[in-house]
Amino acid sequence: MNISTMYPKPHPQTAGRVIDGEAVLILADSSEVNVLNQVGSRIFELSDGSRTVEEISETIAKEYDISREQADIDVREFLLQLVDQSVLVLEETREDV
Amino acid sequence: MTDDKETHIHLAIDIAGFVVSIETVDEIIAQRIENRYHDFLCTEDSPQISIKINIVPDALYIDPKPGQWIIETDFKDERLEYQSYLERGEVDFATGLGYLDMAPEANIENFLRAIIAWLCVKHDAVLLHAAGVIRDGYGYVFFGPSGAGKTTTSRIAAKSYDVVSDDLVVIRIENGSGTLYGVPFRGELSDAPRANQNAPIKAIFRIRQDTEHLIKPMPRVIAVADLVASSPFVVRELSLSDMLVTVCDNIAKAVPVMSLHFKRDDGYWKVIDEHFDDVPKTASTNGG
Repeated sequence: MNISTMYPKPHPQTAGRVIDGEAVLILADSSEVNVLNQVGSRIFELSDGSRTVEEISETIAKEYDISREQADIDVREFLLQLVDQSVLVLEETREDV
Repeated sequence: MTDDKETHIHLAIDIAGFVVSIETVDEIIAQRIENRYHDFLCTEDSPQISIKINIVPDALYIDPKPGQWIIETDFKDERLEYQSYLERGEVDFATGLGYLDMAPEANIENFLRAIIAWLCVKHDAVLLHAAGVIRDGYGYVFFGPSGAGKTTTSRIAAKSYDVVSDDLVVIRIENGSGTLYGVPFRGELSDAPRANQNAPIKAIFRIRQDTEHLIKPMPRVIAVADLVASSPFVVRELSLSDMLVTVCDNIAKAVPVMSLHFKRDDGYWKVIDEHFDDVPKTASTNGG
């Protein structure tokens, strides 16, 4: 599976809100509440179904002044972690926001 | 056959300004409700919610199994569906009408909790798993998951101050300020009064049992997340989650929310007093 071209978006059972640059996530299925750090929150914010993983990596690399290669690795790893926790899902098609 | 001469008994319960009217023809049920909620009964004739109780002999909606007490709720399109072992009900919040079918030995408490939780989140308020104490005219809220120390702080506080609840309280944001409201719902501290009292909130503490008394600041986002996680019923309803986060964020902006480490004695009041003596009157709360 090439996730670079996929579109991450919030899981239907997850609600999130960014407060002071950090995201509060509510996982309704498990009644869990999590907080993401600033970079994680930015990745979550960008994961609205309108951008590919590749595009999100590009934005993170620019905003946080890190190499594109490093951003690719970190963003992928983080997104897969959020998918695993049912915070995000990966879609094959773009969603208009 | 319906007995036209049945007397319909109406009781209105006011919890934090939210009025729920209960209608029943069963005198025993009515008496039980009167006894249990007597400090919260009111004469309001335009309640937000009106519930009709239907007694269903031998009712059993969920088969009992060992483990956690099961309460199933579903909030959809202004409608609450509720079910537990001996009772099942619905409320249409658009019309304010609902019913509760229940076995004669069941009670309305958990259904009422779910209704109040919903009303709260829709009206800039939250039903919170917390102990509430009124001390020198101010409300102090101690919240956290089971085992955090709500009953312990309540038991210690009850020796000198008014404990409005050791398990659940309502916090309402009114004109930018937080108010603590007592509720009639019971926790483990059976001798604590379920007082129908309210007071402006001095502070809210996320409690943790420790070997010393200590107050630590909490970043606003953590305060909001912890408040959200301590809100029963609503936290697992996605349709209300966004509203719940907004309410908890409003609380964290209006009232200081801090982390309180405490050991099992009343020394935590000294730490609290010292904290407020040191804080300039104009200091902000959680960065709001």
